[in-house]
Amino acid sequence: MNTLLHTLIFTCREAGLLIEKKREIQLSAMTGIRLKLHLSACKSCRIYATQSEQIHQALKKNLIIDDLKVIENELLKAKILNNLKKE
Amino acid sequence: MESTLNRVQEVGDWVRLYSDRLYTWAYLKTANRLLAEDLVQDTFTVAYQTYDQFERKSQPMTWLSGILKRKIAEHYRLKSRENIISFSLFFDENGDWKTEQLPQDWTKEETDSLLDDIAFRDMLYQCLYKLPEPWLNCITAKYLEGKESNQICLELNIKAANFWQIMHRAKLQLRKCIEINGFTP
Repeated sequence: MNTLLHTLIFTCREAGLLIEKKREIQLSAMTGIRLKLHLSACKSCRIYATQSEQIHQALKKNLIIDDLKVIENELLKAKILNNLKKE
Repeated sequence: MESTLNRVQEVGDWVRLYSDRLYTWAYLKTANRLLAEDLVQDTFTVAYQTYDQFERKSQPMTWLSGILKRKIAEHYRLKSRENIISFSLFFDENGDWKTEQLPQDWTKEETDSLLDDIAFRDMLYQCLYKLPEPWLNCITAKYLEGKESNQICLELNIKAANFWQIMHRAKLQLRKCIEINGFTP
C-alpha cells in the first residue's frame, strides 16, 4: 500500500495491533471505520484477523488451570527440603 | 526451639505436597526451568521466614501461590524495563507485511484441528514455551488467569501501549509457530 493510504487507513502493522486491541477495548468510531477500510482493502490482514481470532479462541479453550499436567520435580523438592534442614 | 521444629516440619510438608504444583505454575509462567526452580525455592524461603504471618484462614497452597505470584511479578517488573519489541521480522519499514511473512489462508482441516485436536494442544504449549518470558507472562496472565489488560499492566508495571505491542507480537509469533508446525506435532 502507498503512503497516503497508510496515513488514512493504517499500516498493516498498526492494523494488526488494533485487531488485538479491539477484542478487549472499544475503539473510537473513527479508528473503527479506518480499520474496517484497511481490512476491506488488505487481504493479508483479513486473513490475519481471522487467524488471530482462531488463536484467541484456542488459547481460551486450552489454557485452563485445572487441566494443567503437573510436572514432577523431585530434585527441586530434595534441594528445598535440604535447605530447610539448615534453618 | 519447639516452634522452630514445628515450622521446619510443616513447611517441609508443604514442600512435599505443593512444590510440584508451584513449579508447574512457575514453569508455565516463565518457560525457564532454572528460573522456575529459583522462584519456587524463594517462595519456600519466604514462607519459612513469614510462617508466623500465615493466619490459616486460607489453604496453605493458596498462601504459597500468592507468594510465588508476587515473586514472578517482581521478576518481570525488573525485566520489562529493558523490553523493546521489534516487529521487523514480520513488517518492513513502511509497516507492510514482508512478502515471505504474508499470512496464508489455513485449510478447513487445519482450522478444525485448532479447536478439537488434542495433539494441537501439546503443540500450542510448545509454541508458548518458545515465546520470550515477558510475552509468555502476558499471555498466561490474560488467558490462564483471566486477567484484564489494565490489571496486567498494573502488576507488571508496563504501559498499556507496551502491553498491546507484546500481545500483538506474541500473537504473530504463535501464528507463525502453529503454521510451521503444521497444526499437528
